Amino acid sequence: MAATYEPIATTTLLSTALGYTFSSIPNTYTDLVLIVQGSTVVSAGDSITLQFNDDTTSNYSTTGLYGTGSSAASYRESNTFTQTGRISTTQSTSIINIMNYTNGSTYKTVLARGNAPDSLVITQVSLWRKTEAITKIKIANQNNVVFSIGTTFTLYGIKAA
Amino acid sequence: MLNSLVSVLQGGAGAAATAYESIATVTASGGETSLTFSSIPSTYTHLQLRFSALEAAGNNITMQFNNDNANNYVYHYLVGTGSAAYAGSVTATNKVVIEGQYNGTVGTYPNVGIVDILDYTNTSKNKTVRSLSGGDNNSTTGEISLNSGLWLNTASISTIKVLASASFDAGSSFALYGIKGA
Repeated sequence: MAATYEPIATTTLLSTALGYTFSSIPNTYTDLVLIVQGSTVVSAGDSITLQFNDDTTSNYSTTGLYGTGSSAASYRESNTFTQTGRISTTQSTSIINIMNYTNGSTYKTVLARGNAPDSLVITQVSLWRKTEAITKIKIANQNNVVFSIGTTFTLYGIKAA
Repeated sequence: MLNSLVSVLQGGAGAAATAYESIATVTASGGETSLTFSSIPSTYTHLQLRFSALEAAGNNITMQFNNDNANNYVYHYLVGTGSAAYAGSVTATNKVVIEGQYNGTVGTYPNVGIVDILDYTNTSKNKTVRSLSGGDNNSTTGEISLNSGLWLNTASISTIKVLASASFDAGSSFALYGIKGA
């Protein structure tokens, strides 16, 4: 049976970097799943940010929910960048679902969960206000600090029937 | 390569080629109050439903199993509205919520969700549901929610009905996947 859940590409940083970009993403899947596992150097990166198709404008927004160990809270960022998952100076894991990424009629919604053991657990929903199919994802972090050596970025595609 | 089942159920780690399979996709033509998956094969261990829905304002999305619309369901929720976080529960009700109320006004802002239905064929256990869902519309009405649900029935699940409290707009799609154990 043809694979439904397929790895598209993966990379492991051999030197510190401000992020990574996946390009030429095939349009043959329904959803994309991005997994970021690693850390940042010197200081926490805070949220992982995504830019799609080289859109550097303010076409992004996020609603988030998080728990710090002592309280739960929610926040919103409008007309800014996406905030998906979490990256910190300790090993952190984020699973980011980019839903219906090729649909030419709707904006693109992203669901993410992030775990930064030294600080919080977080989940976010983000919106990119463009109807074009996503072919490129640029990954960075909110505080623009470098990711550590050994940080992995893995992209999967899920194909619906 | 096969990743652990736990990581698969957390909404997206990679799996072996045949461990995660597409079962069916249902797409609304517009105006439907429910969409149904019938004759679900019993050959998997868990099910995952992934959806992208376009909805009228005030809508939420719920789920019933095997056409049971009696008060055999319980659910809990943790919600972030962008300005507040709140939690709650509903007991002895006739469905579980998998996506909270949509407050958007534009049909191009899809609400999305990932729903895990665990051990769905085990006839010794009641059935549990976990969902992560939400929608943002770059205004004050976005929402992210975590929901857990329980169907107080040990029957194997063969039918899943997804219901809209209002209706589904055309293009709303629900894709069901099966996850095999080792």
